[in-house]
Amino acid sequence: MGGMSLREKAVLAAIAMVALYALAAAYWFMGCRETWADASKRLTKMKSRYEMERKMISERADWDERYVEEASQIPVVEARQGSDTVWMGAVDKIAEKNYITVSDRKPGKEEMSGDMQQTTVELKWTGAVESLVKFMHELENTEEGKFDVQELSFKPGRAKGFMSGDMKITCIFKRK
Amino acid sequence: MAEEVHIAVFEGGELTVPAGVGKGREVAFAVPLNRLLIKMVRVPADRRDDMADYAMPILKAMSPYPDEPLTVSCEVVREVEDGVVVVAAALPEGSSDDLATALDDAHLNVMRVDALALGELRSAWPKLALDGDTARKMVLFGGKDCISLFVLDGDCPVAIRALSSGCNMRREVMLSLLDAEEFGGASALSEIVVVGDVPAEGLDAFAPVRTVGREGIDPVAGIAERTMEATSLNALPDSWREVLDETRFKRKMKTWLGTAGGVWLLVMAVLFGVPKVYDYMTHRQETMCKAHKASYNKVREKKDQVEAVRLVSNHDLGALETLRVVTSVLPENVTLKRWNFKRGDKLTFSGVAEDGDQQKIYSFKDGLSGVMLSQVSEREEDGDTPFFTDVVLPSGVRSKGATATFDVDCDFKAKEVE
Repeated sequence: MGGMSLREKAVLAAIAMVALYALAAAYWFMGCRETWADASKRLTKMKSRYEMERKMISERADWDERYVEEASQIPVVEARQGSDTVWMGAVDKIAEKNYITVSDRKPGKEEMSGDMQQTTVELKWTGAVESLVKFMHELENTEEGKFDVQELSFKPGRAKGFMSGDMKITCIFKRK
Repeated sequence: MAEEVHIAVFEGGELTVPAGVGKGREVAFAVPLNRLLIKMVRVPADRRDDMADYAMPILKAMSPYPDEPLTVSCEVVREVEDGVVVVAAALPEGSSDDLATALDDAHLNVMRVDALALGELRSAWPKLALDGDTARKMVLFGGKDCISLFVLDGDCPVAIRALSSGCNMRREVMLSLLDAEEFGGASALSEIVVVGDVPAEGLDAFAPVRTVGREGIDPVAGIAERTMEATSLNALPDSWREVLDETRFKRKMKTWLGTAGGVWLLVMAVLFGVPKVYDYMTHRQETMCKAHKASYNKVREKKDQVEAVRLVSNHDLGALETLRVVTSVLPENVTLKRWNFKRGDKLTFSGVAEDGDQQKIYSFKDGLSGVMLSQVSEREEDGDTPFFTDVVLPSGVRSKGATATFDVDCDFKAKEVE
């Protein structure tokens, strides 16, 4: 360096500076851009989450109101009463009324969500398609419980015009 | 706005720098008259463009270092018929080592060199009251290094000399008058004006002597005024100018490198810093989320309960409605054989076209794809939502004797709405 003229030093400095800028540009194109994008995406996601949560918190009164409204329609069973006997009995009753033969039934586990309970009834059935439709219609509209058919499978049965298959019914209720 | 001029003065063997002038600053440098080779020169009109070259041999003849290259500067003081009258001056480097050392020690960069006496004359001019008088006069300025002597015809100098303090004044005045006569022609000396500490005894033999006080005379201010004039004398030696140019170049280079380096650092700081800022902001959002987590969880639980009830209560996408939808688009002579429904997930079924019409099965598939959720829910907001998100014939249509069999997979995923 000692033997270099001032002009040569200036040229060297300019080259070094260009190299530094090239390094910065290379860094930008070789990973920095993705890092920025990822960091920005994380922030956007977190902001959205925060806004969503804030919005939901601000709607608390609304959800409380809706809950009261929905809960009023939920059937109530005695505290010590077995839900299987209640709901399987109700399902059997509706099936029998609509000419659906239930050959096997299995109660599911009770799951709690707040002060609401949810359980399932799995059953094997046989009947005409028309009976099945009527059975499901009554099941969905009965006031004796809140039922929904979660799973339904059938195939032609042994007797002509009859179908047989499985069904899984969800029941929702509250306990006293 | 004019740039501020800083004047450094070398007088009495000491360099005086105005307060606040830091290292590396460019200054105008005023030196005593005895440090310069200075001479009044009459330049012919045809040499006006190279006055310095014309004056060079004249000053070289005066130089104690005749082999040393001189940088001559000329200041035009009067236009005459056959050319111009100039003050030619040069700073002989051979006798300026102490000046250069003092400037180096003070880390100053000299951009011009002037005679302190010329600044003194400029500053003292109003006080000398010489305007309007064309008679020959002599002005003597006492100084720490020498006595500066000017012989003036009106406002134009005809002789400039530096006299040593212990010299024979009468003899030097006589020689100066002879110089003036040789240069400007014969003219009677009308007055001698003495400024400052000058032994003026016996000078009244040449002309009346008038003494003027130093009050109000500021040589530095005079030099500053002269520095602002582009045509004024600049006896800066070439070697000093090279140093100045180099210093200026270095300064520019440093500025450029500093700026480019600073911008580069800024760019790198942005490249590395922005993700950090994003991370910081993300962390802040996380902290804010944590702060309201308890409240949020309570509402979330309530919402889940409401949705659980609604899911059971809302049969729009239920088993019965699905069966109804499929049978509503089922073509004639097509029978469903197997049915497998899972709410919110999938419906798979198989069937047979008794008449073997495959086109009918494809139309059936298209019919299933075209069913809209709004046809079931009767809600306006479900208008563009299909009942099934996807309908496929995974095995195509298979001919079996006079019949055609098929399987259908229908997807519900992501379509289960509140």
